[in-house]
Amino acid sequence: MKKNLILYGLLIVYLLLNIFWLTPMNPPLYNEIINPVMWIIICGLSIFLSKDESLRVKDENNKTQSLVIVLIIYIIVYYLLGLLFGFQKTPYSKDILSILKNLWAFGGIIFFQEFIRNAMVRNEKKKKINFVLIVILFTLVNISFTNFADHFTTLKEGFIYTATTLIPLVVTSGVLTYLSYIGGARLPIIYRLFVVIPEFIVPIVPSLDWFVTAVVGLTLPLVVFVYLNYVHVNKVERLSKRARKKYSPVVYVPVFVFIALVAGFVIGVFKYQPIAVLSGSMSPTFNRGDAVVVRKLTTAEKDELNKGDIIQFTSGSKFVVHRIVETVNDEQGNKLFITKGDHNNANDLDKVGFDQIVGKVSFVIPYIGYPSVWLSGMVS
Amino acid sequence: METRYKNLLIGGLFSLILIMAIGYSAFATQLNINGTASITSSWDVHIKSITPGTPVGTAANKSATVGDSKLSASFEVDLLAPKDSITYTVEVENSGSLDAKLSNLIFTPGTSSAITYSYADIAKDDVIVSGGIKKFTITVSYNDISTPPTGDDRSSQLSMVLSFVQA
Repeated sequence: MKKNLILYGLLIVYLLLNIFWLTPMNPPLYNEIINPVMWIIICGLSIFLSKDESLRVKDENNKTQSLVIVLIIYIIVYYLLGLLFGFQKTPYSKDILSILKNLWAFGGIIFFQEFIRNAMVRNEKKKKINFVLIVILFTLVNISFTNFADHFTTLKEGFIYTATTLIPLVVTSGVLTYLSYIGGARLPIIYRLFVVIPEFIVPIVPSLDWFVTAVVGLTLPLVVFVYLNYVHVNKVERLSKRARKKYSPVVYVPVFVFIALVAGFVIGVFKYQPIAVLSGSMSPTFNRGDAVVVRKLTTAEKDELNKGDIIQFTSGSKFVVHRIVETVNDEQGNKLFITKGDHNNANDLDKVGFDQIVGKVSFVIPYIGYPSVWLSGMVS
Repeated sequence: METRYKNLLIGGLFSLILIMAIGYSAFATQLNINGTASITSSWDVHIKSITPGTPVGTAANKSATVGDSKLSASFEVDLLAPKDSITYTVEVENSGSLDAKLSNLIFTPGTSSAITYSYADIAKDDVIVSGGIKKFTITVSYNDISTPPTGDDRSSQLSMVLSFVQA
């Protein structure tokens, strides 16, 4: 424990220096020299402190292969998501010198951090508290504290930052620590390099919204954990056929497929999309806290809309779900819809054009929109 | 046997990535590419704040909001008479660890005939060092037109998109 106490202490000192002193001093100098040097010093010390400790790593090559397979599939799926959501150019320079500089500044740190993590795992391989402390410390050292408070200026921003960054960081740190335990420093290094390097060498990245970013950020470490845990347990414990079935990643396939389908349904990848009802303007047809499932319409289908249909449309920056009470034509002969909430005593002020219409309400699911209503209430 | 099978699988998957890279080179112009990413794991350039100044004449600020990308903004202002104007101060912060260079600055005015705009203290290729903040101003003014705008036309919109790349 004493050996790790020194390393815990050093990491905490690094963290405090990082938060309160070093980063604002001279960012380029910090990034390219001070930060790597600090990690080299801690890494050297950790290797010295753990030189007598060993970890029985079995079947390292098989585990490495398994991890590489999952990570390549991740990269393929990640970039294919761009075909659905569009792409963005990466801001990083693509000349060789800049690529090497970036790889040193961001990829180099990965090596030192993972050697330190592995040394700490080896020093106290049986203690759960050690595992927890490593996960927490390595999560904290990988958070950027330069504008940390800015992510929490509103509850909505705090929620998005927590979902897209903090939770994936904690889960990833847990999985990396586990990988270090079952496969030495090699596995977490490979994991992190596969995730980090593409954005520095590939000219584009998928332009994902925050919800998909959060789902991807959480799913990758979980899939890696399930598969590598299976590979590890299968080899180390020489499982029986029945036990092998229990750990088999195939068992989790329906769970991940279900998560992907639910995520796709919620973000509107499919023809149907659920919308939480945030106001009582359509009561009693549906109430605040219900959810309506909206079927997206093509232009031809929009033309077939009639009086009495309930539609979802944009009004400024908001979405509204109201009933069509009248259909009119403008001066150019374009069809416009006059809408009204069933509970309102007057029609909506603005007429709705084709380009504003998203879809038509297909059916109502009572009460399941309440979490969104509460969240929306808290945010506003 | 298992090792050989996995090696083959890795080879196959890498070949797929290679095919995707070739496909990207061939069809890059047809891909839907929306600007430059403002926030990645090690890059964070964003609009920190927009502060409206004192309106001149009868101009009134209706809204000044930062877009989801954090590098776009939209301004809505009522412009009713000649000499009406309002100046916004925009602060862009580079919280990442690399210096950022402004590669593009696009303004799109709304349909109102009343609007004209100008900007100062910012130009293409300006660099914001890592940890630095860049302040610049945008002035939205009444266009010199003979017929004063009425109805919805009195409300003038202007949107702005900034793109940064590694300096």
